[in-house]
Amino acid sequence: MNITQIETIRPAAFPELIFVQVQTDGGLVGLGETWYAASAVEGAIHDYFGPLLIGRDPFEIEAHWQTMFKRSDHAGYGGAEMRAISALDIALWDIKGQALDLPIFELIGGGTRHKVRVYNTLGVYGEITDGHDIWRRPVDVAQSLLDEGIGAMKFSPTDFIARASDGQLLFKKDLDWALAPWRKIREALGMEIDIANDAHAKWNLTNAIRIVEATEPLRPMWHEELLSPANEEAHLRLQQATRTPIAAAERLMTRYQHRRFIESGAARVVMPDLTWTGGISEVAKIAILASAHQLPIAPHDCVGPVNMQACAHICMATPNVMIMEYNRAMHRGWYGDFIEPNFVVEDGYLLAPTEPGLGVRLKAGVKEGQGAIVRMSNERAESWLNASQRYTYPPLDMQEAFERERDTP
Amino acid sequence: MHITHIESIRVGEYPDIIWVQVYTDTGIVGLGETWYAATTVEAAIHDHFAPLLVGKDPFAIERHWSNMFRLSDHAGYGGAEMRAISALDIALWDIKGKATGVPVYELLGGKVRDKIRVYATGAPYVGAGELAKELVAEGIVAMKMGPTIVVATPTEGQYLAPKELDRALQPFRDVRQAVGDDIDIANDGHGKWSLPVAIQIAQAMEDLEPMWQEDLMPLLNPDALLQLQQSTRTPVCISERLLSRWQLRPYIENGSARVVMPDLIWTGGISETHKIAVMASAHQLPVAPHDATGPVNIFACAQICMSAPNAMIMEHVRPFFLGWYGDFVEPNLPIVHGWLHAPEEPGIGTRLKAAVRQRQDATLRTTDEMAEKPGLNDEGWQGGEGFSPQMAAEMQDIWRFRKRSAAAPEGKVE
Repeated sequence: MNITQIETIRPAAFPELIFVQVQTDGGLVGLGETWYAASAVEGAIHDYFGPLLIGRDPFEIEAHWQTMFKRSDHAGYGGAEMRAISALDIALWDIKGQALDLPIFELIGGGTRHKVRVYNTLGVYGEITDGHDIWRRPVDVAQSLLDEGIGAMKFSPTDFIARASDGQLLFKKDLDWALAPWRKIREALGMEIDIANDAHAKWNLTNAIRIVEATEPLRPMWHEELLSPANEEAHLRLQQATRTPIAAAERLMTRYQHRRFIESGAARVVMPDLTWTGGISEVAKIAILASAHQLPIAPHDCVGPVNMQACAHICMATPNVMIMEYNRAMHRGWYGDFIEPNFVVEDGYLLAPTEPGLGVRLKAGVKEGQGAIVRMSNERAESWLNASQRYTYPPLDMQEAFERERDTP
Repeated sequence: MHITHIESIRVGEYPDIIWVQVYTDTGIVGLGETWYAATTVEAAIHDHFAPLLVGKDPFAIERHWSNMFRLSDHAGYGGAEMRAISALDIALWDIKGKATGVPVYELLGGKVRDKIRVYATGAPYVGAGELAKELVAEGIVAMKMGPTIVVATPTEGQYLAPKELDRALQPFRDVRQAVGDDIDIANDGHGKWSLPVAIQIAQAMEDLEPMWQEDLMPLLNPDALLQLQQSTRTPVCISERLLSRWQLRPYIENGSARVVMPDLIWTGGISETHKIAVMASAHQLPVAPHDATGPVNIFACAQICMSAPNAMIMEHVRPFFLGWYGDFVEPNLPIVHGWLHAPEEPGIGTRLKAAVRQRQDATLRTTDEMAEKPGLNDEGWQGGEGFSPQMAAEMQDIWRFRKRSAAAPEGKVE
């Protein structure tokens, strides 16, 4: 089987979102996705990575990942290139699962569970306005989640109060204002619902420690990104200042960046974003690394429907999964406009995918949608970009003579 | 698909080796192997682990591994139980590969290479130079020997006279004299020495440029091994006797290991060796899988070597490969001109020859019953008083799920 064509689709309504479809000569199509700076990702896919994949066997996922990663790391890995690799990696797993007639979780160790608990990150889309309601009617929001069987939630109470000083100055009065909704939930519902704080890396260490201390009576599920994960030693100081677990989250790229937080003890919850950190291949590796340190992973979402589905496969196959992020506003609001079947969250659990491969397809019509930007590439790299590259030096005849002598008795 | 019965096979001629065959209702049979204290492994397989697997879906490998490991770790994991888990794990991967029609490397991320170099283990004290010439002529460009092992015995490894060390290194010099730098040579110390003697040996051998120093000391203390690595420019290799990612981890993380050598059939099978290779990759270290035991191990290692980007080289014992491996498996290993090639058949790539089970010296044992005894099943504690309704419901649900996948297996998790 060979890869014949790679296509990206950027829907007009969600300018950060990009889907990738990898097509093969057998007719199978693999679907991937990532989110953020979509036009840069599009460029990386078509100009950098696509030509490395065209004409190649889609089954050799690890080899392709290595080739793409090395290619991107020539000038420092990260950013749009890692997101492009992530999206393509998901699509390759989708092809392999479809070709072998198995859900992807069967290809990464097999099912260790058939459903995983979700927590709801409060969002706003269409009729669901959790992200606003939490400030006006916090107990109602928590109760409505509990009514659906969802026993955990995440929101970002401290983001707004960081803005005035860019995280450098924190007044106790501001913090009390920000934590008021949380306190109301605890007063009304006790510990019926677990609550995590996502602080989006807005604070310095000094204020981060003040926040973890102030929130301890509220018993957070975890604190996520009070600090930018730029410095694992600062992160470790934060963890040592509190009994609340600290999560190392989505902006860490690959096992190489996660490693330091896992090994130093700076993270007690590991939260890779599958569509940023390197795809299914890399998240499976990060989960293994975490397992050697007896730490759980809790995959990140809030980006798009394909990510959630890819994470579902990781969650089913990985023993050390704690809980899966979920956003009911996005799930019910717009995910269904793009994929079919939509994934199923039932009684607070994300259910195991049942169909071969990823288990979802891009809906017909997404490509033709008004304002959608579609780009296609089908040419194979023949230059030094090619994976089986010849080096420029030494001269070709000397390279061949070296290999002849080395490889044949 | 579900597992119907599990069979182990031992033969009198090679009393340390044990094969395991996992049978399914579809007719697909998975083959595994381990080596060392085979009767103990046999008991662990049948009395401990097989009842957890019979009736279950063979595809849920990770779940089975975790269940078996937890059961064994109830009283401290290791030894025969880890070898039993390793053998069963290989067999489960074999089944999954055969059922899906692909070599196991396709289920481990796919192929990153078509072949990997092998090195040849074992050399006579007299005649190592001749052997090296023979190997180079065959295309084998690396070898391993353990010339210092014998001189450790008189002092239990606590002292080594310079003169004895000098004499012990003669085979190394013979190889260098015979073929120059055409062959790489690794030294295997079999864990015989104290730290100061290990440093003494490593430094004395530096001019001979060993490929690595393997197990000069027993692998009991990562801090001690780090001192050894910091005392020599030769790569220090951590090897086969470390079990599971949890024991290899401190050596990989503290910088004492520059070559990581898991033994697949001891450390936890294909599942665990794959995890160890991933962990090593996060530290930019190579893996060089251990062998010297049996043919199925190398087939399983070949699957890792084809799928792990950081595989360096593969061990093999040439007299075993050319001698008796072919009596037991077909096809035999695809080793040609110093390279182990990717196995082509679905699964691990080989089968036990039919005649092995009929051998006069064969001991067969079969288990076909599911665990019903408390403590021998994977259903865990089923709940109790005082739990929240949600928690109790969740436990009941997990329990029902496991019962269902045992009772009405359909090949896929619902």
